[in-house]
Amino acid sequence: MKRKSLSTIIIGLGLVLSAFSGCSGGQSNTPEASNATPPSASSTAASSSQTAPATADPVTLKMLLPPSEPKMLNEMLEIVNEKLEADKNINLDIQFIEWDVWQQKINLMLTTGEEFDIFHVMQDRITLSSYQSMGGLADITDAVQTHGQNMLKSIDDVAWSSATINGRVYGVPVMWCELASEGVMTLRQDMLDKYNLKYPETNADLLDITEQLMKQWEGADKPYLMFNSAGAAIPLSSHTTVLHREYDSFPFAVKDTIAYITMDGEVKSWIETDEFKKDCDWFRDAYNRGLINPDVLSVPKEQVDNQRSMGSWAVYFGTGGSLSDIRKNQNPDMKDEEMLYIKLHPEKQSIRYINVKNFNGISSTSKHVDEAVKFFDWLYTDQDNYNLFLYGVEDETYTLVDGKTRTAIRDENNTRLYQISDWMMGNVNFILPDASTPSLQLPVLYEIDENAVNHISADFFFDATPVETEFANLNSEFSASIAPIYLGVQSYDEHFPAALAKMKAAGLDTVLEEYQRQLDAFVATKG
Amino acid sequence: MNRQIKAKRGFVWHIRRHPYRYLLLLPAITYTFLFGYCTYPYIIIAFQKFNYRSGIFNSEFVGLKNFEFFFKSNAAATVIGNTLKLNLLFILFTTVASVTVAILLNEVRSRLFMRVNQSLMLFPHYISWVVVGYMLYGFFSTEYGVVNQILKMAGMDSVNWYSTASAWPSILVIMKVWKGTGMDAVIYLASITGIDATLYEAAEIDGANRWQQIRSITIPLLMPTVCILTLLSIGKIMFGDFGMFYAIIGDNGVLYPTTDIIDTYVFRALRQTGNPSQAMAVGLFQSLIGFIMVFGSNKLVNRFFPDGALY
Repeated sequence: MKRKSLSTIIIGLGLVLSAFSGCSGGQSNTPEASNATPPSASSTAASSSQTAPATADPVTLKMLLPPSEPKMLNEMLEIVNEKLEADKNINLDIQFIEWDVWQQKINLMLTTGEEFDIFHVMQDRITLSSYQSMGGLADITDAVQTHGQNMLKSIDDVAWSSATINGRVYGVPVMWCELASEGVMTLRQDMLDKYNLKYPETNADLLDITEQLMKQWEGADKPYLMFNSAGAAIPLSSHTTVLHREYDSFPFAVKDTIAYITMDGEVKSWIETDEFKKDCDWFRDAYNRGLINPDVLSVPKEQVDNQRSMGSWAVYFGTGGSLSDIRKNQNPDMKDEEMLYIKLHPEKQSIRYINVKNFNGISSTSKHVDEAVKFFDWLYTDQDNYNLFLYGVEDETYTLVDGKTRTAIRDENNTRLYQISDWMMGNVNFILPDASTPSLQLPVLYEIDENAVNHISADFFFDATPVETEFANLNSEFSASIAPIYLGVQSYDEHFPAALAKMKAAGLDTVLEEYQRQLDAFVATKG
Repeated sequence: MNRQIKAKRGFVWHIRRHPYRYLLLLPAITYTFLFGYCTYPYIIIAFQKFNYRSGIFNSEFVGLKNFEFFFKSNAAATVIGNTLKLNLLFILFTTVASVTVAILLNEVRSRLFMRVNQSLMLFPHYISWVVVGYMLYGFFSTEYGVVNQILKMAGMDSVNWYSTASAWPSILVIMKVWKGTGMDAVIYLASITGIDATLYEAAEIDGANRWQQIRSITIPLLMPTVCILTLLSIGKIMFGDFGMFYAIIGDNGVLYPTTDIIDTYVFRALRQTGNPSQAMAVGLFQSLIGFIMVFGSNKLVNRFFPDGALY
């Protein structure tokens, strides 16, 4: 009996110890952790240079990217590694993780202290500041200064500023397109001509031409107004910033679903502004006139994609729509210059509400912080390195067109043989857009707009940690109460008072106070 | 003497005697060990301000603070109520449907008919909720949905189903029953086929008809299995089927008053911050309530119907 109890205890202890063995966090296996002070790249540099001297075996960096592996990844990676090893004594091991498990997997790997080096950070999912505040990112400030001279040339100071938290750099900004393009909408001239629709100049015109188009429409799918309804009614995601250019108070920024920020840095409650009400009224009008999908809150993304690729639209918020799809499915004679990219009220300034959307972070569990920075420096050194890593080998996985654009080579199933997406690793100085990109879109997305103005909060990211309880509840309440009103499904007059009360109860004012405090501190730091 | 020999035949003796049986158990044991016991230590992060760098031993202890975001929210009562209500409806209707189908299938004498029926009923179990979500959109979309087309043909007004919260609990229950009945019926059918055939022979000799045999033999002998499966379901009563709800309801806030459950609420609240401590806090609460429910229900079953108790 005693032996039985003893064996039970031993087995139990074994279970517990084995379970704990993998969860000691970064304390024992990260270079930063050996120091009680906050992490610094100088300490990581010292330790990593000890573990991977230039003359030793190449250091293999484990990189995590979403979502699925390109068909010729292994072949291309072999060629990339050959050059990368010769240049920097580094090899890459890239692991792709599907969208549905992306966040959980990264979270789990960080929680259990699993060693990996580079992972992609999407601001519309979990922000850089969230990862940083939870200790998920390595401080790369010194490493960038020591090993990142080419990176520093290719990425603007304002973009680096976006990656800087409390004076330290925590990510490599992905500056792949001109974000002053926010507020642009795509307009089809061929549709305007065919259905005798006026060129839109105001927000009301957008509704009128869509209504005219709807009345004359002969196709199967209705030509609803196209916008990213999956953007959860957030202006920067749904691109409803298109509407904001008309308001007298323009320019202003709306961030993190709740903050309305003036150009002077004053933070107000977005949902309590007149501008929010005007957006709601515009959408309600569109909804009542049948110009947006009546199931806008539930319509599957595939159905929206289908409407776009079938060409059943004239107005699209943002730079969307494929010329080749429209030619294939609807109008074979559509001319390249008939796809227009316009801003309402063009006399008003172009604004960069944010400077960077995505980053590449170096994991706090990485033992090779310096090498990870060296890899990005190598990537942004010249066009050859960039092309090789992002597009593969010319005439094997892509062909150059006019030296400025490229066409991906596809297999029999029309799948690209190889490509690492520009939005994950790209840089506007090296990018080779797809050759099918409409010619008028190229300058909008891939040329720096010298006249654009940065919003005061363009490189500010809110850290929700001090008010995480309220922020979490506000996120949930926003989807439940505000999004249906914003997208016109529910009437503002009827439902807004109750929705506002719920948002207030969830902690709206507390979060906005913290928002203002952080923004003030940020602006003060910048001088 | 016999008892002494049995007592000496310990665990190792059993493994030596039946090695292949234990080998079959190995995958399940490994799975439970890895994904069950090995994850227990992480429960502690529900009480910490978890930091990846500090790990579970060194992160700051914050007591019950991580529970606040859920219990202080306006929605806590609604989502807990929805979770309990919908899960109870799922358990009730799926159990009744599965038992009925199993009994009916047991009465079928044509093997071909039975196999075809079983296959057809099992099929929905293997369809992902994402596909079911698309199917439902095909049925209920305002513009082109089958249901509205039928209503229009009947001279009635079409309904904007995706703005009608009251309709969705029933739709969800129907879909859950449609998807789950086939698989559960297999378990009940297996239990029915295990009933001693001589009982039916004796009943027939006594002049009992089929309905009397079902009522007096099949259903009573099936009840322990029904009880055990129901108790296991009650253990998960605070956990919603996230895949199902997110694929069908998604981010449609208009439908939340009747369909928002704990899992979807937490997903929505934490998708931008990804705070593992707050997620663990809610998970722990769900598990604790599940445990209490199973414990309490099992005690009741033990008292009134001991054969159906789990332990």
